[in-house]
Amino acid sequence: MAIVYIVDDDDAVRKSLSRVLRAEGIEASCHPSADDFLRQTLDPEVTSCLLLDVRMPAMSGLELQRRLAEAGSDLPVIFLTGHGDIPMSVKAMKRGAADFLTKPVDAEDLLRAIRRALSVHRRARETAVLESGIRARIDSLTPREREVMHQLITGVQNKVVAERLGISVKTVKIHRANVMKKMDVRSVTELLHLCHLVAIEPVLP
Amino acid sequence: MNILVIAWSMICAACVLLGLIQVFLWSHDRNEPAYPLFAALAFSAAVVAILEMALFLSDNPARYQQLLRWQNVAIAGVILSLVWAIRAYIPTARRWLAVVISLCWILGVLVNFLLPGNLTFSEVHAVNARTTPWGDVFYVPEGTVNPFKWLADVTVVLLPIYVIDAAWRARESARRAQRIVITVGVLLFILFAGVEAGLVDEGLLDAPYMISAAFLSMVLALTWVLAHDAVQARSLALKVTEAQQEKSRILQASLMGEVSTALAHELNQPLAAMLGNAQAGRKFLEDPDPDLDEIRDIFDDIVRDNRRARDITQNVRRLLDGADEPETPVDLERELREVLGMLQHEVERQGVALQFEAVPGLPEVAGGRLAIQQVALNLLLNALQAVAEQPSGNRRIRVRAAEREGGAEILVEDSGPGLPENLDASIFDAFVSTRSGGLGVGLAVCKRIVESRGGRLDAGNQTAGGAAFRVWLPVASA
Repeated sequence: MAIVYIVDDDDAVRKSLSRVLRAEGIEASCHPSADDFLRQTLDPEVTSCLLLDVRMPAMSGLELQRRLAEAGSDLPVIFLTGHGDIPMSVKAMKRGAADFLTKPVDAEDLLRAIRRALSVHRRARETAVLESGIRARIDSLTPREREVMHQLITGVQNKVVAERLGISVKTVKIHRANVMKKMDVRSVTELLHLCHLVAIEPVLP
Repeated sequence: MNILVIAWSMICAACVLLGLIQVFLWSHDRNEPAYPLFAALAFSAAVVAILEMALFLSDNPARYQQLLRWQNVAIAGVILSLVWAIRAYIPTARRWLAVVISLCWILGVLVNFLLPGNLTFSEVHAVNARTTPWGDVFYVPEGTVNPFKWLADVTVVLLPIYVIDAAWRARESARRAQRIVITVGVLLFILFAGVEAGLVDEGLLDAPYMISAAFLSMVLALTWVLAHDAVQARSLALKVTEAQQEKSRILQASLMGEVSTALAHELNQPLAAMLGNAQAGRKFLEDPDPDLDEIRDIFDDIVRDNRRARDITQNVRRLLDGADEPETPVDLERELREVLGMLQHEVERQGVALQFEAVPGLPEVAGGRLAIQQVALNLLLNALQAVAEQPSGNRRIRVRAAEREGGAEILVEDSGPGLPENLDASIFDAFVSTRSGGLGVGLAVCKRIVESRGGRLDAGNQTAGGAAFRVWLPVASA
């Protein structure tokens, strides 16, 4: 399931682009202006990308890209321009545009760019899902369990953890079992990997 | 034939010619006081030459004395015009020295007429015949030297001081070579003429007065300056022509760029649509059971977009030929925004503060999109060029669109230097590009486009400075 949003003020161009996508079995959602696009709510579960005309009356493509970036959107943006304006394309790419295509664009080039953008978005979405899962698990830990986890990923034995936290080895063992269970891991190595994914790194004393 | 007479006649002719040239220069530049003064100088020298000739041919003491009186008047003319011409030409010359020299000669002329004899001799006793080595006979005077002759002689000292001082004080300023040449010319003239005449007066030298001959150094100096100026003017004129050609070439290139950008944008839309439709259509046909209605739609769309592209190229061609575009009602605000969008990059690059106001609910006007865009583009390009001459903080362009007198009006105002004072309808001819120029865009085309739609195009200056162009177009007829 993937959707490509097309924003272009020219009816004929919009219709033609959506046909090219439809012929490949890709769903397209057409919008005659940037405002019209912003009015809808995007489904965060759906892999998608944005095909955007640079030059439009009212809000330009560059302006829409800027607004999306400010709102923290991870939607990849492919620009379409009527003429190869180099300064403009540099500006767009610097702001993280996925691609910059010149009109009239070949179906093959367009589809290649769209597939690339969609796979970028899919991967970004998968990572996001994974990360939010790990964060949810970490959030379920008690403060003490979290302290124990931070010690464990430095690779020391229970005895050392007990010493550092000023608690008994027996208590450390109980906390350790809880951490491993709540984080759904079988080894400290696995735990270290999950922590790494959400940017929690071992802090050596 | 008397060689002395031939020589003095030639000197006289040279002086007259120089004088005529200075009169001619003066007639072309009435504000330069040096020209009439140099003319007076040259004509006085011509009179001196004629009188010198009369003197060395005169064998009668009484007549000699009378001629010498008039000769002194002519010499006074030479000195007075020379002193004040130098002051006009080299403004650093000291005024008081010029006044002292002038007063001496005015007093000298009074002495010349009021006391017995003339300024040179109280009385000429005799004139003595002399013979040149080649056998010409001439006469030299013998008489009592006038005690007031110092009034004339003092010039031989003061004039060199005056001119050297002036040239020295002006040594850093422009036209240095010209000043040096004139200074040297004056020095040679005054020293040779003064010393030679003094020796003849005292009877120490058996020779005719040669003041006019000495004046040849001035003739040479002034002629050199004229030639030098002419050469400089010519090379300056060449530079100006080159700069103008360069400027118009850049203007052409920028117009070409803007027009091709606009054209590319307009054409790319239908081209993009056609390409996508054709490629999608092909893909649909690969389906074992293709949707024929869809494919029919696709062909219809391709035909429609093709017509759209054809209309654009036809319109552009008509526009560039200056001919009419089919009239369609035009949304002024939309077209103005589109043109401003085309120029946005240039506006930002030049740091121009651009203000756009459109009164809501403008009526649709007679025109044709491309025609109106062309007019707006030209006016804005002119405005951009005008404000480019201003410092970067003072580059403002204001574009306003409002309803007016059964139509709508576009007002383009800039903060540039404004239009020339003697403004008239000819500015609409000034920028006409001929076919060889390539584009045929400019104010002339704008005016033709606007007037062919029953509108008006006016130009003027704002009271606060800067140019203002006003386009009025009637409401589109239903």
